[in-house]
Amino acid sequence: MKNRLLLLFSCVALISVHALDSSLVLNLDDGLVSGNVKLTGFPEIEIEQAVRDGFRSELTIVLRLVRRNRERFPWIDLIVEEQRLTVTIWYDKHLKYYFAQPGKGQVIALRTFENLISFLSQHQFRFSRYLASRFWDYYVFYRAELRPIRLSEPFQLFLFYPFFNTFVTPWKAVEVESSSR
Amino acid sequence: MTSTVTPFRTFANTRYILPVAGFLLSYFLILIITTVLAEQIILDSSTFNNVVLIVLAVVFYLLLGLGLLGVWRYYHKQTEQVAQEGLRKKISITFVLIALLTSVPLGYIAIRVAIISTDIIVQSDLFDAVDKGLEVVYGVYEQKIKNLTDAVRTIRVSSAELLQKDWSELTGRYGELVYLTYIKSETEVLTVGESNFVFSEWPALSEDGQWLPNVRDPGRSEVIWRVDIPEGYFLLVARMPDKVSLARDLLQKNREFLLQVRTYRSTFLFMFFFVFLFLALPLFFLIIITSFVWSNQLTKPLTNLKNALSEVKSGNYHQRLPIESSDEIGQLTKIFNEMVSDLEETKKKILIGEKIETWKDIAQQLAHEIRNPLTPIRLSSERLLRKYREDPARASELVESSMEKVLDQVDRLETLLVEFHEFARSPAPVPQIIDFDAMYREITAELDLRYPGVEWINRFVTVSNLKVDPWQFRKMLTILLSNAVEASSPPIQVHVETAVVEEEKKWFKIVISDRGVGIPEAYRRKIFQPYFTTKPNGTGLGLAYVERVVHEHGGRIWFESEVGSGTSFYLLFPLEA
Repeated sequence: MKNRLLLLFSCVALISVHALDSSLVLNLDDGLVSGNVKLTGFPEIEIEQAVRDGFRSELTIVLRLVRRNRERFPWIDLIVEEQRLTVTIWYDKHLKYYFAQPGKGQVIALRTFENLISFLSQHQFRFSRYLASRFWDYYVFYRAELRPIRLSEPFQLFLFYPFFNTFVTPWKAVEVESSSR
Repeated sequence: MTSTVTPFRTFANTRYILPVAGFLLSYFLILIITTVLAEQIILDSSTFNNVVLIVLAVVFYLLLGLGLLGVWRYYHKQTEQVAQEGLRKKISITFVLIALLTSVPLGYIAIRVAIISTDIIVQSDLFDAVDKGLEVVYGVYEQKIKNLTDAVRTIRVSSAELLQKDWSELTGRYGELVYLTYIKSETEVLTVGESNFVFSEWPALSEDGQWLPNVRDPGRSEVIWRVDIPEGYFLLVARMPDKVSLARDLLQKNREFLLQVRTYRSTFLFMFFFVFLFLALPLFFLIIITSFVWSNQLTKPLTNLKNALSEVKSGNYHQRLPIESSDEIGQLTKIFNEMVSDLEETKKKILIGEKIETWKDIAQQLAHEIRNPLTPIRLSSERLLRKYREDPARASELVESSMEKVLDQVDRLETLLVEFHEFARSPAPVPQIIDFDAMYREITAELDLRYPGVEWINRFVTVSNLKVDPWQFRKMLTILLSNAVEASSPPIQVHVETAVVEEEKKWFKIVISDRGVGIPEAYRRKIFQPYFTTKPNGTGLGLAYVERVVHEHGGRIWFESEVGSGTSFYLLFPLEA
């Protein structure tokens, strides 16, 4: 019972106290949509505590390029492309360095926690779908999820617990036509 | 009496196909969902999505709903058909008990294994061992880097040639060294070693000389660090032994896992229990549903047999049951059908025999009754004829008295024939709702004219759903009340009582009692037989008519009598629902 209450309170606390938020600037260059996601309101205490304890944290940004369906089924828009930007971060207590690895690519070593947060705040992306015309029919739908503790395999069943160890931004949509040039 | 003959079904076991197929389909569906979901939830969260969760939830709650529906229906029937549900209840409880007896220990074992496994991990020295291992690995790194740092400090940097020469000597002694950059100033940089390393792509280095692993390419074992010298500083790359690098990666990965086990042990066990229930409950409910379906299938033939026996008991010999299997139940059904066929045949024979016997009796009685008046007619006629032959002049003296006797007997004969005609005609009853009290008052008013001075003592209940043929019912009551009066001696009292009784269904009960002479023991078995009478002028058809009317209305009649004290007739008529 104690355990359940602890989980409940921690979930409520995680949702209510921190307000992870996001904004998106889009560019449309030669028919290709690219942009920059900016994140603010990181739960810095939780992240630093987790990585210094030896856990890894994980940030995931889901970006969907969506075409507005104006014809047969106007209430169902079509996702033409989806990108998931993932960054895993950890701290090496022997080296006293923070590390960040976007996806499975190059690892970045960062000396201070402030540098790490700064690194996590900006994310660039580019969709590969070429928008030849009617780009005003498209919009980008996106959301960011932050897990201060990235769970290993058997602990994935915590996902049954809604919002356990998770900070999310609301889903937002940015029109390609209005915000980009 | 209506009869229903169910056609025989030659294709056996068809009723089992649907439940068996449904059970197997549900079982494998739940098994697949459970297996796939269990792996997805625990091992591969990336493919776990809300659609699968919704499907699982729908299946789960569907089965839950069906289970509850089954329980509700079961108890609903339980209250309606207590006697029929006894066996079904036992079978259902047996199924559920088997399910509980197996699933509860299995669930307990699964959860205990999870608890013990996590306990072993948490309570063991694994975490400390991994921490110490990491310290050892990093110690190896530190020692090697210290040795290499001391060595490279001996490199002369006054000229590029000397730097190259000393580097060559050092790499001969220290094979780990890969690459070196000497930075004197922003514009004066010298490099030696493997040319495929580009420092600009490496992470910023600490000014305090902290080494860093090659984080650019995961899996590589190089380290990079900075060595300050009076003339500037070196940036150095050395290759650590692969086994040490591998050990570092593995230890770090397992340390993270052990840390999660230690932190989330209790939460994990709670979630494990939750997921276990989430996945196991549909199977459990499937067992409960199956128990209801199967118990119904198993008891249905027995229930049918019981109902059929009740029908046979009530006289429906046309009842047959379908033989749907070749097992014991099927054999029992076959024997039942054969037995009922034999019974029906025997009953027919008995009925034919009884009918013949009855008509013989009636013919004898009728002949006897007709012969009785014929004798005085014959005697009167012969006497008158004889007188006329002997003395025609004085024959007229006898004409009036003789003819009166003849006419009297002819009247009797006519009455006899009318009664017989009425009895034999037996029209089918045309039931309608009647007002018993009103009908009774009319009958007693007529009887008061025939039998003055009779005291009618009544105790009635009022019913509004007595549905009988008014004409037949009226005549039946008249006969019974007349008999009660005629059997009594003055002062005559006739008690009439009505009530509503409940025995499987609701009945209207009439009790007519007199304080008469009673019925002797010897006559009691014969009083409902046609033409049996103890009255001098009786036809013997009254009570036979009464009995037939009662039976044709689906009622019952019986009597209690004590010689010298009186007789009570009891009649039951079914009331409309």
